[in-house]
Amino acid sequence: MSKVISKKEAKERGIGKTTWKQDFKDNGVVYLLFLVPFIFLFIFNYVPMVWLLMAFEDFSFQDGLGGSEWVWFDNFARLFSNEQFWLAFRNTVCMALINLVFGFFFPLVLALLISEVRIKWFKRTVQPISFLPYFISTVVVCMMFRFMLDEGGAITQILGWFGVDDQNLLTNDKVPVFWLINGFIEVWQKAGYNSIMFVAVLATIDGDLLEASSIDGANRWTRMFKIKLPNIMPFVLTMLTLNVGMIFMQGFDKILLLYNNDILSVADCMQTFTYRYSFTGSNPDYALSTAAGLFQSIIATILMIFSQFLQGRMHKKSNNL
Amino acid sequence: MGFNFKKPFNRNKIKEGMVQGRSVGGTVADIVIILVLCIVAFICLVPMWHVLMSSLYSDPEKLITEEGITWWFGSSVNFEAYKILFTETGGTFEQGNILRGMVNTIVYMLVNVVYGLVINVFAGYCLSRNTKLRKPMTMFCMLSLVFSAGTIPTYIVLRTLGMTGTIWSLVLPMCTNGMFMVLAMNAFLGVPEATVEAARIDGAGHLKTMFMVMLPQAMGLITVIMINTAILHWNSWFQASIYIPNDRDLWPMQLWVRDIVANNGDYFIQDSLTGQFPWNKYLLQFAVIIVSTIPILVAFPFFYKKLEKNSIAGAVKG
Repeated sequence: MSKVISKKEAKERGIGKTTWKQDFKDNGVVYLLFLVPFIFLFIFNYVPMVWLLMAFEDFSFQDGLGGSEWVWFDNFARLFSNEQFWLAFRNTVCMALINLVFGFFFPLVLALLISEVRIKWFKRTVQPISFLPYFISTVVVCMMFRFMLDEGGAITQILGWFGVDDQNLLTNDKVPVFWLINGFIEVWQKAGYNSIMFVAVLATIDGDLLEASSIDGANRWTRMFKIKLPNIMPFVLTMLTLNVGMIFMQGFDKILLLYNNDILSVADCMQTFTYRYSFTGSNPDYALSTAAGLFQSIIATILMIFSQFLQGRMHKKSNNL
Repeated sequence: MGFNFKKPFNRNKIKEGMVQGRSVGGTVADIVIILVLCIVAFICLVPMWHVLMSSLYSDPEKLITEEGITWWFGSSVNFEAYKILFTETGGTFEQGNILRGMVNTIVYMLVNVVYGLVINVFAGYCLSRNTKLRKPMTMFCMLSLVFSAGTIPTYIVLRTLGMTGTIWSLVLPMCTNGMFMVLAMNAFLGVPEATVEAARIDGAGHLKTMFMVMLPQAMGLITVIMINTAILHWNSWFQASIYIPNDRDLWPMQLWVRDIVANNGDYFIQDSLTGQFPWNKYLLQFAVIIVSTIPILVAFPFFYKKLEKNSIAGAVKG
């Protein structure tokens, strides 16, 4: 008896425990459509994962995946005792954090500034200009900055006014130099693009609200900190948690284009480490390289799950309020 | 000071930043804001200006010792570097040169955008429907984003499929990624469910609902995805440097840019007979940057308008 009632109840509430048969009848086409992206991802993203097994093997191309000797965690032991790997790990974390902070702070400030401009034509000119670098390719951007960071280059000269010696900044292996360069290029490239979303959200704030606060005597600062920022904070936090999940996968080709042997200790990141061990040198170490890649993927996945969890929490919180 | 009572009828025109009337503090703030934004705009533009002026520099020999930003091209415009770029770098069009690179990039870009569009739209629709397998399907797409097998395994698979050294290695594997699929899902989720239900009740099947009802309404975000796919492929060079390192006729343009700038020394060699330096070849690295950037700058106004318009839709959904 009770079973029938609960089923009925469920149906009434629309929670609907549709049977598999019913689901396939209704949504068979959906599953068929999904086959297209499925096949693509499967072949190009999931099939290669089989070769991750070589992280546990003494891999050589002659013997292949099946023929190479199974060594369990030897490669990881070698990896974790590799000093350069830990340097690369440290650099990745630091550069990712710097990029995350810069990548949120500057676009947000830019958006707030743009939203405060009252002259329309100026706004319409500045916004596209700040957006422009996003369209310039990474290779070109890195090459341009290589000119400017060189001895006698534009940036080196400007820093010279503040007492920095004339030097090729890309060969300076002191700790934050390359990280800041990397962060600066990241901001230069993406600040305008990222700010456009913040500008859009700021534009959705009710004009009446700002007007009312103005009548009540709020000045610009108060309006900015008491109305504008709180209004866009939920959006900023959502974006932030999304980006936390992604930080381990960005900006690698920039580093590959900028770094050199002089600054390996500060510029090397996980991806370049992986890249160097498999593509450069006379004796590539595929197993070690794959082990490093696997390690990185696992961390990225954990971060992604963490960021999803945070998003879920935030969603719940905002629903409760 | 404060609210301007003379214009009570302009209520709906009032937007942020326009509310406050004229005051001394307000005007100073205005000037500071405009100054800061001018500096930002300057920083955004000046690297390109420097490269443009350097590429046209009249006296390349002097340019090598010049410090700081090149503000002006000197006494006269010098197009030699561009001539060298189009005639002497690489081989003929069939063997591969910078022009071929540009054509290649545009082809790769277009093919990828079209493939990507189909796949993203399909994935977006499937992930947005309330099916029993929705969660596993979403996980499947998301996981591919963060958990990558790495370059070597992907290379091995592509080689097994016989794709390395052909255009397919650059066209098929990268036409989509999990991020774009999730974005497409959001685009479809943004369509009001009522319109979808109405269409279903009227007897429209899944395909009809997707293409005729939902896609037109989701087109804004889909356009953003398409533009981002295009930019991604305009930028891409790493995959090409691994999958087709020796097939210069297939090289995308960015690989040429990297090759010419990074190996400028190879082009810039002293003539063994006359002992002269080919000074103009020093400008080659600047010229290639300008040439490779012009096409995307031509497309920029169009892309910008689309992105600006649709970012509001994307932002509100968050």
